[in-house]
Amino acid sequence: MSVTFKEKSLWIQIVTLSLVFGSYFLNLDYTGVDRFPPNLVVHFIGLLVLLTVLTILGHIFAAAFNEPENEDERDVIIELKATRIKAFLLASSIVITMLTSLTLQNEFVTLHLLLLFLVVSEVVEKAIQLFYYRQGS
Amino acid sequence: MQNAKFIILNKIRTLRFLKEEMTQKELADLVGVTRQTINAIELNKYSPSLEVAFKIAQVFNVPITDVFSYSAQAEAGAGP
Repeated sequence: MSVTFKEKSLWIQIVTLSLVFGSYFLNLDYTGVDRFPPNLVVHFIGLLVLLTVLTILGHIFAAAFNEPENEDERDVIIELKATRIKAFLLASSIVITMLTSLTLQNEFVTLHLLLLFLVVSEVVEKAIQLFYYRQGS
Repeated sequence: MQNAKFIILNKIRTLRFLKEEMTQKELADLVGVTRQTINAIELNKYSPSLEVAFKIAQVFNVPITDVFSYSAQAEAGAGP
């Protein structure tokens, strides 16, 4: 079964998101959770730039093997199905983060929980889309 | 009352064959969708919108009822 450009694009987004934010969370200093790490804003901007560059490079590479196709109604439906699950996941994670924040009252934990849930929900959304494309629905 | 699952069946594969063995890609380009969408419709895994259904019928120059049919399938072991 051939892999379409759309599916490759989803794989690229899953891999880049996991790589960039996975490395961020792995290298995070968990000993100093009482205060934010220095230059956090610059660090976040760097992550976003890296994510954008990797995603663009991945898509250029994918486009060399597959011609990108225009989006049609089935693509939109699959995207909507995945977005519905992502929205539920995000809403649940916000409630969890609020409860954690009220309990721990720690800005570092709150910020990173929000970031983690945001990344996880994005990855889940892309994975669900991939599932629907593979299923053929 | 017996439970039934309603599915939309189609004869696109047959109609493509009769239309000079038209490929899925050619039909997709004429209708304005992707080849994967035509494949999903043919396999009854995706029900197209009315607009796409009419466009497909238009390509084959037949009424929409000659392409698509609505059928009820009784579910096995369905209770009351």
